Amino acid sequence: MARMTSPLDMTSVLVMPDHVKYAFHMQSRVRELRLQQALSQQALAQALGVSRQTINAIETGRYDPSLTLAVQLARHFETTVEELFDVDA
Amino acid sequence: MSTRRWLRMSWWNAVLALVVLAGAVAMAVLGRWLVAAIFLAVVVLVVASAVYARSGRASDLTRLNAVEYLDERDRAVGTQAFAIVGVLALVLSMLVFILGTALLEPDSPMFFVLWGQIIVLTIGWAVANLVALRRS
Repeated sequence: MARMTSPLDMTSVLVMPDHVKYAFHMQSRVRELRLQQALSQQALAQALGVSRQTINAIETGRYDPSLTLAVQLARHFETTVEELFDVDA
Repeated sequence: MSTRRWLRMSWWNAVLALVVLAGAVAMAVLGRWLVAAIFLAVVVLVVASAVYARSGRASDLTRLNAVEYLDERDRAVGTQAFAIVGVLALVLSMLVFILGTALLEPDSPMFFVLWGQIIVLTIGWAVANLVALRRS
């Protein structure tokens, strides 16, 4: 989210903009595919043996899953890792 | 920290609870009942927080604070947090070492503690780097 800053606004120094903060994380289609299957984050998390917070972090681009979890996610949605995650985004 | 299904807590918390429990027993044998009761309360707190963190109702922050990692993200974040604590410990130890060297009497036995702490931390850092590299 873009922040309006003034020369005296020190929070702009302390708060990292989202486009910088998430610059090194992948975008994914996990949320889109999960909603297509009418699954909750909790249900998907239980199916994969991870926490609901991890699914949320992957969906919001705050966490890049390991290769193992990425493959498990892709298998769950019957797609490929490259279809599920966009490293060039 | 890996968790055994039958244990219902990480080995970290199991060891911590056992060590404090041994302390409670030792204090009871020595007749220091108040300290023994406090140690026993700590054991109950450690076990209760570990079991709650494993219950599924706990937040990710609660799991991290209880050292009860559920998945790879918990482990990654926990490792990162402990690394920050390690850096903080190194910096503070160096500060205490410098202050101690400046302020302590030359024949003070505390010099052994300061030197020992710095040496153990430095060796620990080197070993941690080696283990981390081998595992990567």
